[in-house]
Amino acid sequence: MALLLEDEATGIRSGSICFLPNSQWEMPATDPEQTGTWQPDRVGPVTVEWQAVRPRARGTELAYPLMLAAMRAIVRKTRRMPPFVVIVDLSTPSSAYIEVARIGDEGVNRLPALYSRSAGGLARAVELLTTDDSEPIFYLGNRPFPLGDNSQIGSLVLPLANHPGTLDALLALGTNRQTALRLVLLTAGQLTLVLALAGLGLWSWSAFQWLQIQAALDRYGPGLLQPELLPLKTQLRSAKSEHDGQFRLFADARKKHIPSTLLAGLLRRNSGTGTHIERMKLSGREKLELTMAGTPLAVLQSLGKFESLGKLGDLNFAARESEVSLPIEIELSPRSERRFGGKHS
Amino acid sequence: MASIPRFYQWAGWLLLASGGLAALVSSYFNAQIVQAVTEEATLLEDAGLDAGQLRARIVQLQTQTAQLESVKLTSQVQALNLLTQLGNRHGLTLQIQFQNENKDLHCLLETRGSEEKIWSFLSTLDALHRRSQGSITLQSYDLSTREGRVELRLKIQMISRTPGGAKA
Repeated sequence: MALLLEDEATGIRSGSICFLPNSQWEMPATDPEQTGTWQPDRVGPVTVEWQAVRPRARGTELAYPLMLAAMRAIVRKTRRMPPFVVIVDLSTPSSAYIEVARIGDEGVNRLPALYSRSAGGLARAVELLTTDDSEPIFYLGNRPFPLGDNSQIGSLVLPLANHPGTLDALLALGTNRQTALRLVLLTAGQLTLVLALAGLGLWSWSAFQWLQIQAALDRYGPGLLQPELLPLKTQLRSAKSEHDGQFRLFADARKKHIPSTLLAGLLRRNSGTGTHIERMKLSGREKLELTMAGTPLAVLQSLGKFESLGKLGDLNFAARESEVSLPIEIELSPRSERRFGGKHS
Repeated sequence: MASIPRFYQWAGWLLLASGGLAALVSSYFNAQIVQAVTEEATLLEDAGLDAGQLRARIVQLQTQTAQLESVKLTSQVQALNLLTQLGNRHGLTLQIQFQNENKDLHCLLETRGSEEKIWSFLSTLDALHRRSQGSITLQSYDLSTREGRVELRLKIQMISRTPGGAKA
């Protein structure tokens, strides 16, 4: 049996909920019927679960926590205050073991344990404990109550458990262990730790946010938060978009421009001596149409040079006289196109 | 024994409450900052200017825009004047046909003359392109040589203040 200090057993207090889990049940002051000398139950959890199904040890030193658990279980289950008589039957198939006690204002009044499951023996034990017929007799056992032939006790007993499972659950309710664990989430120390950690986490989060604010202010200057600058910013934005639009318009136009100096240079570079250009057509930057005239040899030489500019179209070369006129179509390759168009800007 | 844990617990609650308060205050300001930063980020390279710099930048942009606007052609008449003057300077007679197309003003220029005159005329047009920052661009050439005379057909695109170069 472990005794816990109130500070250790108390967790989150929320109204009267704490009374049950901490077993601090007290008599309500307004109830005139209950005028016992009850003190708050300051006894913490008791360990009897292992006894309920398979009692490993028996005897006086274990009877008190067992009866304490049984008493709490009865009080919680039936909402009835002592005095009452409790019969706890922990018998196994091989051996019988029954504890009988009366719980009253003066405490637990216990008889020596019974080692037989006879109804007559139980009746005698109950008679020894109390003569008041109004005191209820509760039976908590892991098997049904033994009914004798001519015993009246069977009709007086109020069975609360008659199966190992129900007895186990009932006694566990009385041990203050499961309920206490369920409702008392954290002990005071753990709660303090959690509170402190959460507080520190919030503080560090806010510090992180302040750092971010500082960084933003360092980056953008104090003008970031001045509302009087907003119209200026809007004006700047519209001025920018207008300027960008104009600039793009001009840039697009410039991109389409084909400087005549480059065109002249191109023709001069590529057409060799003895040839002249009869007709030249260039639109856009993709296709150059030429009609070259001159001596066949010179035209062929120039043709070789023009070929490096891009892909030549179908040729129609007919050398009849000393002078030949040859139409050429060149699809300008991107490389030469770049050289062609990139210089002007 | 009992008062020490109680003090710690009290301190823990205090820490939590103050931390929550600090987080609330900082997140309020942080939200404002975040909003302001996203607003400011739309200004791209002009982010973080103060009032004077903002005004200077607006004036600069407006000047540039006005400059670009000023090199635009006002009308077909102006373009015609410009081109015929240039042609006269080089002793060329021009035949010019205008054509409206969306925002731009296109014109087809035809002339003929000696090779030298044609090429110098073309280089003058190039210089005009440079001076006008691209307001006048040469888009396609069609040259044909016949008996020492060059016939030129030139497509010119111009940016005009009013769509199509028509007077508003």
